[in-house]
Amino acid sequence: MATQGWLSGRTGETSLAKLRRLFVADVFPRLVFLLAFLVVWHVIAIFFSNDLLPTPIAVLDESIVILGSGSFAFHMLNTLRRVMVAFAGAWVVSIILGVWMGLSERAEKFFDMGVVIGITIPGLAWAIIMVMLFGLRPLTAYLAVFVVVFPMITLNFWEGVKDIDMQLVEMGEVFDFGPARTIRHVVLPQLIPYMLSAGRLALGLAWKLVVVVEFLGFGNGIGYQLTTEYNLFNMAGVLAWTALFTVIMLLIEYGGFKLLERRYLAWRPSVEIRRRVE
Amino acid sequence: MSQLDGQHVLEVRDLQKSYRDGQGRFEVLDGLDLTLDRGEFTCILGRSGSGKSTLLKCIAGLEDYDGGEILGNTNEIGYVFQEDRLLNWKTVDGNLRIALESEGVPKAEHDERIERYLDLVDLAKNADDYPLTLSGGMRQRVSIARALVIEPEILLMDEPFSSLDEITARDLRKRFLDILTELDQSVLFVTHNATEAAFLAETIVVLEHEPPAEVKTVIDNPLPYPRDIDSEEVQSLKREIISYI
Repeated sequence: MATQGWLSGRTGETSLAKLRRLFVADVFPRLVFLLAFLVVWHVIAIFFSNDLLPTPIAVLDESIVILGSGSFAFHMLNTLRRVMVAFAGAWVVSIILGVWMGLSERAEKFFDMGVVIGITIPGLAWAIIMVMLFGLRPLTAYLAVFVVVFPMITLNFWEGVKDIDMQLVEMGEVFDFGPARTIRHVVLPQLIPYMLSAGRLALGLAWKLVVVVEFLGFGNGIGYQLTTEYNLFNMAGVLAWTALFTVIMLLIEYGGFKLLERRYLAWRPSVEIRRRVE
Repeated sequence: MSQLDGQHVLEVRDLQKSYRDGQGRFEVLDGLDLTLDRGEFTCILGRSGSGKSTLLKCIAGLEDYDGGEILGNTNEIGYVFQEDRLLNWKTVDGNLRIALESEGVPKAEHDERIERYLDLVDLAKNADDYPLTLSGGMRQRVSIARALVIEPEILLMDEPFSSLDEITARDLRKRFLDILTELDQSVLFVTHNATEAAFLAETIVVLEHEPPAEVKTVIDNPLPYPRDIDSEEVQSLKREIISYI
Protein backbone atom coordinates (compact mmCIF):
# COMPACT_ATOMS: atom_id res chain seq x y z
CA MET A 1 0.00 0.00 0.00
CA ALA A 2 2.90 2.29 0.77
CA THR A 3 4.25 2.11 -2.77
CA GLN A 4 1.02 3.28 -4.21
CA GLY A 5 0.85 6.70 -5.66
CA TRP A 6 3.95 7.67 -7.52
CA LEU A 7 3.51 5.51 -10.60
CA SER A 8 -0.17 4.89 -10.34
CA GLY A 9 -0.87 8.09 -12.21
CA ARG A 10 -4.30 9.35 -12.92
CA THR A 11 -7.17 6.99 -13.22
CA GLY A 12 -8.07 5.91 -16.72
CA GLU A 13 -4.72 6.95 -18.18
CA THR A 14 -3.12 4.48 -20.60
CA SER A 15 0.43 3.36 -19.87
CA LEU A 16 1.70 5.04 -23.02
CA ALA A 17 0.16 8.37 -22.04
CA LYS A 18 1.61 7.91 -18.56
CA LEU A 19 5.09 7.31 -19.97
CA ARG A 20 4.78 10.35 -22.17
CA ARG A 21 3.67 12.51 -19.24
CA LEU A 22 6.56 11.24 -17.12
CA PHE A 23 8.98 11.95 -19.97
CA VAL A 24 7.73 15.50 -20.48
CA ALA A 25 7.54 16.29 -16.77
CA ASP A 26 10.62 14.50 -15.45
CA VAL A 27 13.12 13.58 -18.13
CA PHE A 28 12.84 16.35 -20.68
CA PRO A 29 13.97 19.33 -18.54
CA ARG A 30 17.00 17.36 -17.40
CA LEU A 31 17.92 16.39 -20.94
CA VAL A 32 17.71 20.02 -21.99
CA PHE A 33 20.09 20.98 -19.20
CA LEU A 34 22.57 18.25 -20.17
CA LEU A 35 22.50 19.27 -23.79
CA ALA A 36 22.95 22.97 -22.98
CA PHE A 37 25.88 22.10 -20.71
CA LEU A 38 27.60 20.10 -23.47
CA VAL A 39 27.04 22.85 -26.02
CA VAL A 40 28.54 25.53 -23.76
CA TRP A 41 31.48 23.26 -23.01
CA HIS A 42 32.01 22.62 -26.71
CA VAL A 43 31.93 26.32 -27.59
CA ILE A 44 34.39 27.22 -24.82
CA ALA A 45 36.72 24.38 -25.84
CA ILE A 46 36.83 25.44 -29.47
CA PHE A 47 36.87 29.23 -29.23
CA PHE A 48 38.20 30.28 -25.85
CA SER A 49 40.63 27.74 -24.43
CA ASN A 50 43.69 27.87 -26.73
CA ASP A 51 43.34 24.10 -27.19
CA LEU A 52 43.83 23.48 -23.45
CA LEU A 53 40.29 22.23 -22.88
CA PRO A 54 39.32 19.20 -24.96
CA THR A 55 35.87 19.08 -26.51
CA PRO A 56 33.15 16.77 -25.09
CA ILE A 57 33.68 14.51 -28.08
CA ALA A 58 37.40 14.15 -27.37
CA VAL A 59 36.56 13.31 -23.75
CA LEU A 60 34.00 10.77 -24.93
CA ASP A 61 36.64 9.13 -27.14
CA GLU A 62 39.05 9.00 -24.22
CA SER A 63 36.34 7.52 -22.01
CA ILE A 64 35.69 4.78 -24.54
CA VAL A 65 39.40 3.95 -24.57
CA ILE A 66 39.44 3.80 -20.76
CA LEU A 67 36.33 1.62 -20.67
CA GLY A 68 37.83 -0.66 -23.34
CA SER A 69 41.17 -1.04 -21.53
CA GLY A 70 39.65 -2.99 -18.66
CA SER A 71 41.33 -0.83 -16.02
CA PHE A 72 38.17 1.15 -15.38
CA ALA A 73 36.38 -1.60 -13.47
CA PHE A 74 39.45 -2.29 -11.33
CA HIS A 75 39.99 1.32 -10.25
CA MET A 76 36.31 2.09 -9.93
CA LEU A 77 35.69 -0.91 -7.70
CA ASN A 78 38.57 0.05 -5.44
CA THR A 79 37.22 3.56 -5.04
CA LEU A 80 33.70 2.22 -4.62
CA ARG A 81 34.79 -0.15 -1.86
CA ARG A 82 36.50 2.66 0.06
CA VAL A 83 33.46 4.86 -0.26
CA MET A 84 30.92 2.23 0.71
CA VAL A 85 32.75 0.84 3.74
CA ALA A 86 33.39 4.28 5.20
CA PHE A 87 29.92 5.50 4.32
CA ALA A 88 28.15 2.53 5.91
CA GLY A 89 30.24 2.85 9.08
CA ALA A 90 29.61 6.58 9.36
CA TRP A 91 25.89 6.14 8.73
CA VAL A 92 25.42 3.55 11.46
CA VAL A 93 27.47 5.44 14.05
CA SER A 94 25.70 8.69 13.14
CA ILE A 95 22.24 7.21 13.63
CA ILE A 96 23.16 6.01 17.09
CA LEU A 97 24.90 9.23 18.11
CA GLY A 98 22.34 11.52 16.45
CA VAL A 99 19.40 9.78 18.08
CA TRP A 100 21.16 9.80 21.42
CA MET A 101 21.88 13.54 21.11
CA GLY A 102 18.29 14.18 20.09
CA LEU A 103 16.89 12.34 23.08
CA SER A 104 19.30 13.28 25.85
CA GLU A 105 20.15 16.81 26.74
CA ARG A 106 23.31 15.66 28.48
CA ALA A 107 24.55 13.83 25.38
CA GLU A 108 23.67 16.85 23.28
CA LYS A 109 25.72 19.18 25.43
CA PHE A 110 28.62 16.75 25.58
CA PHE A 111 28.88 16.01 21.86
CA ASP A 112 27.66 19.14 20.10
CA MET A 113 31.00 20.92 20.16
CA GLY A 114 32.69 17.83 18.75
CA VAL A 115 30.19 17.74 15.92
CA VAL A 116 30.73 21.40 15.11
CA ILE A 117 34.51 21.02 15.18
CA GLY A 118 34.20 17.94 12.97
CA ILE A 119 32.24 19.87 10.41
CA THR A 120 34.65 22.79 10.44
CA ILE A 121 37.92 20.91 9.83
CA PRO A 122 38.60 20.76 6.07
CA GLY A 123 38.42 17.35 4.42
CA LEU A 124 41.86 17.83 2.87
CA ALA A 125 43.36 18.38 6.32
CA TRP A 126 41.85 15.11 7.55
CA ALA A 127 43.11 13.31 4.46
CA ILE A 128 46.67 14.56 5.00
CA ILE A 129 46.56 13.84 8.74
CA MET A 130 45.32 10.30 8.19
CA VAL A 131 47.90 9.54 5.49
CA MET A 132 50.67 10.87 7.75
CA LEU A 133 49.38 8.90 10.73
CA PHE A 134 48.60 5.57 9.13
CA GLY A 135 50.45 5.55 5.82
CA LEU A 136 48.97 4.26 2.60
CA ARG A 137 46.79 1.49 3.99
CA PRO A 138 43.15 0.73 3.29
CA LEU A 139 42.35 1.82 6.83
CA THR A 140 43.61 5.33 6.08
CA ALA A 141 41.01 5.92 3.38
CA TYR A 142 38.23 4.50 5.53
CA LEU A 143 39.17 6.62 8.52
CA ALA A 144 39.61 9.83 6.57
CA VAL A 145 36.19 9.48 4.97
CA PHE A 146 34.60 8.39 8.20
CA VAL A 147 35.74 11.41 10.23
CA VAL A 148 34.66 13.86 7.55
CA VAL A 149 31.27 12.33 6.83
CA PHE A 150 30.11 11.31 10.23
CA PRO A 151 29.72 14.72 11.96
CA MET A 152 27.74 15.96 8.98
CA ILE A 153 25.18 13.17 9.11
CA THR A 154 25.09 13.11 12.90
CA LEU A 155 23.94 16.71 12.73
CA ASN A 156 21.18 15.67 10.36
CA PHE A 157 19.84 12.86 12.56
CA TRP A 158 20.11 15.00 15.65
CA GLU A 159 17.89 17.61 14.04
CA GLY A 160 15.55 14.86 12.85
CA VAL A 161 15.02 13.43 16.31
CA LYS A 162 14.42 16.87 17.76
CA ASP A 163 11.74 17.44 15.14
CA ILE A 164 9.76 14.31 16.04
CA ASP A 165 6.16 15.25 16.64
CA MET A 166 5.52 14.36 20.28
CA GLN A 167 1.80 14.91 19.81
CA LEU A 168 1.77 11.82 17.60
CA VAL A 169 3.64 9.86 20.24
CA GLU A 170 0.97 10.95 22.73
CA MET A 171 -1.74 9.81 20.32
CA GLY A 172 -0.04 6.42 20.17
CA GLU A 173 -0.14 6.28 23.94
CA VAL A 174 -3.90 6.95 24.05
CA PHE A 175 -4.54 4.21 21.49
CA ASP A 176 -2.25 1.74 23.30
CA PHE A 177 0.35 1.43 20.52
CA GLY A 178 3.07 0.23 22.90
CA PRO A 179 6.81 0.89 22.40
CA ALA A 180 7.45 -1.39 19.38
CA ARG A 181 4.55 -0.09 17.34
CA THR A 182 5.34 3.50 18.33
CA ILE A 183 8.95 3.23 17.15
CA ARG A 184 8.05 1.43 13.92
CA HIS A 185 4.95 3.35 12.88
CA VAL A 186 5.30 6.73 14.58
CA VAL A 187 8.98 7.57 15.13
CA LEU A 188 10.86 5.89 12.24
CA PRO A 189 8.64 7.23 9.44
CA GLN A 190 9.38 10.72 10.71
CA LEU A 191 13.13 10.06 10.51
CA ILE A 192 13.15 8.61 6.99
CA PRO A 193 13.39 11.97 5.19
CA TYR A 194 16.39 12.81 7.39
CA MET A 195 17.96 9.41 6.75
CA LEU A 196 17.66 9.87 3.01
CA SER A 197 19.01 13.39 2.93
CA ALA A 198 21.83 12.41 5.28
CA GLY A 199 22.65 9.42 3.11
CA ARG A 200 22.78 11.54 0.00
CA LEU A 201 24.93 14.18 1.62
CA ALA A 202 27.27 11.59 3.10
CA LEU A 203 27.71 9.69 -0.13
CA GLY A 204 28.53 12.88 -2.04
CA LEU A 205 31.08 13.90 0.59
CA ALA A 206 32.57 10.42 0.77
CA TRP A 207 33.18 10.27 -2.96
CA LYS A 208 34.94 13.59 -3.02
CA LEU A 209 37.15 12.75 -0.11
CA VAL A 210 38.13 9.28 -1.25
CA VAL A 211 39.44 10.74 -4.48
CA VAL A 212 41.54 13.24 -2.52
CA VAL A 213 42.98 10.49 -0.34
CA GLU A 214 43.79 8.39 -3.38
CA PHE A 215 45.36 11.41 -5.04
CA LEU A 216 47.75 11.66 -2.08
CA GLY A 217 49.43 8.42 -3.05
CA PHE A 218 47.31 5.32 -3.31
CA GLY A 219 48.30 2.87 -6.04
CA ASN A 220 44.83 2.44 -7.44
CA GLY A 221 41.40 4.05 -7.60
CA ILE A 222 39.95 6.98 -9.47
CA GLY A 223 42.11 9.46 -7.56
CA TYR A 224 45.25 7.55 -8.53
CA GLN A 225 44.21 7.65 -12.18
CA LEU A 226 43.64 11.39 -11.92
CA THR A 227 47.21 11.80 -10.58
CA THR A 228 48.58 9.71 -13.43
CA GLU A 229 46.77 11.71 -16.09
CA TYR A 230 47.79 14.95 -14.36
CA ASN A 231 51.44 13.91 -14.44
CA LEU A 232 51.13 13.21 -18.17
CA PHE A 233 49.35 16.54 -18.54
CA ASN A 234 46.54 14.71 -20.32
CA MET A 235 43.52 16.93 -19.80
CA ALA A 236 41.23 14.64 -21.81
CA GLY A 237 42.19 11.78 -19.50
CA VAL A 238 41.49 13.82 -16.35
CA LEU A 239 38.09 14.84 -17.70
CA ALA A 240 37.27 11.33 -18.92
CA TRP A 241 37.92 9.77 -15.49
CA THR A 242 35.97 12.56 -13.82
CA ALA A 243 33.08 12.12 -16.24
CA LEU A 244 32.93 8.34 -15.82
CA PHE A 245 33.01 8.74 -12.10
CA THR A 246 30.23 11.34 -12.24
CA VAL A 247 28.07 9.01 -14.32
CA ILE A 248 28.36 6.31 -11.66
CA MET A 249 27.41 8.88 -9.00
CA LEU A 250 24.39 9.97 -10.99
CA LEU A 251 23.31 6.36 -11.37
CA ILE A 252 23.44 5.95 -7.60
CA GLU A 253 21.57 9.19 -7.08
CA TYR A 254 18.78 8.51 -9.55
CA GLY A 255 18.70 4.73 -9.35
CA GLY A 256 19.13 4.58 -5.59
CA PHE A 257 18.10 7.60 -3.60
CA LYS A 258 15.36 8.86 -5.87
CA LEU A 259 13.76 5.41 -5.91
CA LEU A 260 14.03 5.08 -2.14
CA GLU A 261 12.47 8.50 -1.80
CA ARG A 262 9.55 7.51 -4.00
CA ARG A 263 9.14 4.26 -2.14
CA TYR A 264 9.15 5.77 1.35
CA LEU A 265 7.85 9.27 0.84
CA ALA A 266 4.94 8.44 -1.44
CA TRP A 267 2.57 9.88 1.14
CA ARG A 268 3.83 13.40 0.55
CA PRO A 269 1.40 14.80 -1.94
CA SER A 270 2.45 16.73 -4.99
CA VAL A 271 1.17 20.28 -5.19
CA GLU A 272 -1.37 19.14 -7.73
CA ILE A 273 -3.29 16.79 -5.48
CA ARG A 274 -2.95 18.95 -2.41
CA ARG A 275 -5.27 21.46 -4.00
CA ARG A 276 -8.17 19.07 -3.70
CA VAL A 277 -10.92 20.37 -1.46
CA GLU A 278 -13.82 18.82 0.31
CA MET B 1 -12.38 0.63 39.21
CA SER B 2 -15.17 -1.47 40.60
CA GLN B 3 -17.37 0.74 42.75
CA LEU B 4 -19.03 2.30 39.77
CA ASP B 5 -22.78 1.98 39.79
CA GLY B 6 -24.38 0.67 36.59
CA GLN B 7 -25.64 3.99 35.39
CA HIS B 8 -22.24 5.69 35.34
CA VAL B 9 -19.41 4.94 32.94
CA LEU B 10 -17.06 7.40 34.55
CA GLU B 11 -16.70 8.96 37.95
CA VAL B 12 -14.07 11.50 38.89
CA ARG B 13 -13.79 12.09 42.62
CA ASP B 14 -11.85 14.85 44.32
CA LEU B 15 -9.23 14.97 41.54
CA GLN B 16 -6.09 16.95 42.31
CA LYS B 17 -3.27 17.89 40.05
CA SER B 18 -0.55 20.50 40.25
CA TYR B 19 2.49 21.46 38.23
CA ARG B 20 5.75 22.79 39.48
CA ASP B 21 6.69 26.13 38.01
CA GLY B 22 9.23 28.85 38.72
CA GLN B 23 7.41 30.21 41.76
CA GLY B 24 6.48 26.89 43.30
CA ARG B 25 3.45 24.68 42.82
CA PHE B 26 0.65 25.64 40.51
CA GLU B 27 -2.72 24.02 41.20
CA VAL B 28 -4.60 23.04 38.05
CA LEU B 29 -7.22 20.73 39.53
CA ASP B 30 -8.18 21.02 43.16
CA GLY B 31 -10.79 18.52 44.23
CA LEU B 32 -12.79 18.22 41.03
CA ASP B 33 -15.86 15.93 40.95
CA LEU B 34 -17.60 14.75 37.81
CA THR B 35 -19.78 11.87 36.63
CA LEU B 36 -20.68 10.68 33.17
CA ASP B 37 -23.75 8.52 32.61
CA ARG B 38 -23.91 5.75 30.03
CA GLY B 39 -24.87 7.21 26.64
CA GLU B 40 -24.70 10.76 27.98
CA PHE B 41 -23.10 13.70 26.18
CA THR B 42 -21.42 16.02 28.66
CA CYS B 43 -19.61 19.22 27.77
CA ILE B 44 -17.00 20.72 30.04
CA LEU B 45 -16.89 24.40 29.41
CA GLY B 46 -14.21 26.74 30.58
CA ARG B 47 -11.84 29.41 29.45
CA SER B 48 -8.42 28.58 28.03
CA GLY B 49 -6.08 27.55 30.80
CA SER B 50 -8.90 26.57 33.18
CA GLY B 51 -7.55 23.02 33.44
CA LYS B 52 -10.11 21.26 31.26
CA SER B 53 -7.58 19.65 28.93
CA THR B 54 -5.57 18.49 31.91
CA LEU B 55 -8.68 16.76 33.22
CA LEU B 56 -9.08 14.83 29.97
CA LYS B 57 -5.41 13.88 29.96
CA CYS B 58 -5.68 12.55 33.50
CA ILE B 59 -8.72 10.47 32.56
CA ALA B 60 -6.93 9.10 29.47
CA GLY B 61 -3.86 8.21 31.54
CA LEU B 62 -1.63 10.66 29.65
CA GLU B 63 -0.86 12.49 32.87
CA ASP B 64 -0.52 11.35 36.45
CA TYR B 65 -2.62 13.06 39.09
CA ASP B 66 -1.71 13.87 42.67
CA GLY B 67 -4.87 12.88 44.50
CA GLY B 68 -8.45 11.70 44.20
CA GLU B 69 -9.66 8.86 42.02
CA ILE B 70 -10.94 8.15 38.55
CA LEU B 71 -13.38 5.25 38.34
CA GLY B 72 -14.43 3.62 35.10
CA ASN B 73 -13.05 1.53 32.32
CA THR B 74 -10.35 3.97 31.32
CA ASN B 75 -8.61 1.35 29.17
CA GLU B 76 -11.38 1.63 26.64
CA ILE B 77 -11.09 5.23 25.66
CA GLY B 78 -11.39 6.87 22.29
CA TYR B 79 -9.75 10.28 22.03
CA VAL B 80 -10.20 13.07 19.52
CA PHE B 81 -7.59 15.78 19.84
CA GLN B 82 -7.78 19.40 18.84
CA GLU B 83 -5.44 18.55 15.94
CA ASP B 84 -6.20 15.52 13.80
CA ARG B 85 -2.96 13.75 14.82
CA LEU B 86 -3.09 11.32 11.92
CA LEU B 87 -0.07 9.36 10.71
CA ASN B 88 0.46 11.06 7.37
CA TRP B 89 2.47 8.13 6.00
CA LYS B 90 -0.46 5.76 6.43
CA THR B 91 -3.61 5.78 4.39
CA VAL B 92 -6.95 6.59 6.02
CA ASP B 93 -7.57 2.84 6.24
CA GLY B 94 -4.11 2.33 7.76
CA ASN B 95 -4.73 4.96 10.42
CA LEU B 96 -7.89 3.18 11.58
CA ARG B 97 -6.34 -0.28 11.28
CA ILE B 98 -3.38 0.50 13.53
CA ALA B 99 -5.79 1.65 16.26
CA LEU B 100 -7.76 -1.58 15.93
CA GLU B 101 -4.59 -3.70 16.05
CA SER B 102 -3.27 -1.86 19.09
CA GLU B 103 -6.52 -2.18 20.98
CA GLY B 104 -6.52 -5.93 20.31
CA VAL B 105 -9.69 -6.05 18.24
CA PRO B 106 -9.81 -9.46 16.44
CA LYS B 107 -8.43 -9.22 12.91
CA ALA B 108 -11.55 -10.73 11.38
CA GLU B 109 -13.54 -7.67 12.42
CA HIS B 110 -11.15 -5.02 11.07
CA ASP B 111 -12.44 -4.67 7.51
CA GLU B 112 -16.06 -4.58 8.50
CA ARG B 113 -15.50 -2.01 11.26
CA ILE B 114 -13.33 0.27 9.14
CA GLU B 115 -15.92 0.22 6.40
CA ARG B 116 -18.72 0.94 8.81
CA TYR B 117 -17.11 3.88 10.60
CA LEU B 118 -15.66 5.47 7.48
CA ASP B 119 -19.13 5.26 6.03
CA LEU B 120 -20.49 6.92 9.15
CA VAL B 121 -18.18 9.92 8.74
CA ASP B 122 -18.90 9.86 5.01
CA LEU B 123 -15.36 9.01 3.93
CA ALA B 124 -15.86 5.48 2.59
CA LYS B 125 -14.47 6.56 -0.76
CA ASN B 126 -11.28 7.93 0.79
CA ALA B 127 -10.04 4.76 2.51
CA ASP B 128 -6.94 4.53 0.30
CA ASP B 129 -6.07 8.23 0.39
CA TYR B 130 -3.19 9.67 2.37
CA PRO B 131 -4.22 12.28 4.97
CA LEU B 132 -2.26 15.13 3.40
CA THR B 133 -4.38 14.86 0.28
CA LEU B 134 -7.52 15.57 2.33
CA SER B 135 -8.90 18.87 3.60
CA GLY B 136 -8.71 19.82 7.30
CA GLY B 137 -12.34 18.94 7.92
CA MET B 138 -11.95 15.55 6.25
CA ARG B 139 -8.86 14.81 8.31
CA GLN B 140 -10.69 15.61 11.52
CA ARG B 141 -13.47 13.26 10.43
CA VAL B 142 -10.86 10.51 9.97
CA SER B 143 -9.66 11.21 13.47
CA ILE B 144 -13.23 10.93 14.79
CA ALA B 145 -13.61 7.63 12.90
CA ARG B 146 -10.35 6.41 14.46
CA ALA B 147 -11.70 7.13 17.93
CA LEU B 148 -15.05 5.48 17.20
CA VAL B 149 -13.75 2.42 15.34
CA ILE B 150 -12.40 0.87 18.52
CA GLU B 151 -15.93 1.18 19.94
CA PRO B 152 -14.77 2.81 23.14
CA GLU B 153 -16.72 2.88 26.33
CA ILE B 154 -15.95 6.58 26.72
CA LEU B 155 -15.19 9.08 24.00
CA LEU B 156 -13.02 12.01 25.08
CA MET B 157 -12.88 15.04 22.85
CA ASP B 158 -10.59 17.99 23.39
CA GLU B 159 -11.89 20.99 21.41
CA PRO B 160 -11.98 18.90 18.23
CA PHE B 161 -13.59 21.56 16.06
CA SER B 162 -11.74 24.63 17.28
CA SER B 163 -8.91 24.49 14.76
CA LEU B 164 -11.31 24.38 11.80
CA ASP B 165 -12.90 27.30 10.04
CA GLU B 166 -16.41 28.10 11.29
CA ILE B 167 -18.30 26.82 8.24
CA THR B 168 -16.51 23.47 8.31
CA ALA B 169 -16.87 23.30 12.10
CA ARG B 170 -20.63 23.92 11.86
CA ASP B 171 -21.06 21.19 9.29
CA LEU B 172 -18.93 18.78 11.29
CA ARG B 173 -20.81 19.42 14.57
CA LYS B 174 -24.07 18.59 12.89
CA ARG B 175 -22.78 15.40 11.27
CA PHE B 176 -21.13 14.40 14.51
CA LEU B 177 -24.33 14.80 16.48
CA ASP B 178 -26.20 12.64 13.96
CA ILE B 179 -23.57 9.93 14.31
CA LEU B 180 -23.65 10.02 18.10
CA THR B 181 -27.40 9.75 18.38
CA GLU B 182 -27.09 6.67 16.18
CA LEU B 183 -24.38 5.09 18.35
CA ASP B 184 -25.59 6.01 21.84
CA GLN B 185 -22.00 6.82 22.77
CA SER B 186 -20.93 8.28 26.14
CA VAL B 187 -18.99 11.47 25.41
CA LEU B 188 -16.98 13.89 27.48
CA PHE B 189 -16.37 16.94 25.34
CA VAL B 190 -14.16 19.85 26.31
CA THR B 191 -14.77 23.26 24.77
CA HIS B 192 -14.53 26.99 25.37
CA ASN B 193 -17.34 27.68 22.91
CA ALA B 194 -20.72 28.27 24.61
CA THR B 195 -22.75 27.87 21.40
CA GLU B 196 -21.06 24.56 20.70
CA ALA B 197 -21.87 23.35 24.22
CA ALA B 198 -25.50 24.49 23.99
CA PHE B 199 -25.91 22.79 20.62
CA LEU B 200 -24.22 19.47 21.42
CA ALA B 201 -24.52 18.54 25.06
CA GLU B 202 -27.16 17.13 27.37
CA THR B 203 -25.23 18.25 30.40
CA ILE B 204 -22.95 21.27 30.54
CA VAL B 205 -20.39 21.52 33.32
CA VAL B 206 -19.15 25.10 33.62
CA LEU B 207 -15.75 25.48 35.28
CA GLU B 208 -14.48 28.47 37.25
CA HIS B 209 -12.49 30.77 34.99
CA GLU B 210 -9.39 30.85 37.10
CA PRO B 211 -7.51 27.67 37.87
CA PRO B 212 -7.60 25.49 39.86
CA ALA B 213 -10.56 24.01 38.02
CA GLU B 214 -13.69 23.75 40.11
CA VAL B 215 -17.22 23.17 38.95
CA LYS B 216 -19.06 26.48 38.98
CA THR B 217 -22.41 25.15 37.87
CA VAL B 218 -24.01 22.26 36.02
CA ILE B 219 -26.66 23.05 33.43
CA ASP B 220 -29.05 20.44 32.03
CA ASN B 221 -30.01 20.78 28.41
CA PRO B 222 -33.23 18.84 27.81
CA LEU B 223 -33.69 19.98 24.18
CA PRO B 224 -34.42 16.93 22.05
CA TYR B 225 -32.13 15.90 19.18
CA PRO B 226 -31.88 16.82 16.32
CA ARG B 227 -31.26 20.42 17.25
CA ASP B 228 -30.90 23.57 15.23
CA ILE B 229 -27.89 25.67 16.19
CA ASP B 230 -29.66 28.89 15.16
CA SER B 231 -32.86 28.14 17.08
CA GLU B 232 -33.98 30.48 19.86
CA GLU B 233 -33.70 27.69 22.47
CA VAL B 234 -30.04 26.95 21.69
CA GLN B 235 -29.19 30.64 21.53
CA SER B 236 -30.90 31.48 24.85
CA LEU B 237 -29.11 28.54 26.49
CA LYS B 238 -25.88 29.92 25.10
CA ARG B 239 -26.64 33.28 26.78
CA GLU B 240 -27.33 31.52 30.04
CA ILE B 241 -23.99 29.67 29.83
CA ILE B 242 -22.12 32.86 29.02
CA SER B 243 -23.60 34.54 32.09
CA TYR B 244 -21.59 32.06 34.19
CA ILE B 245 -18.23 32.58 32.50
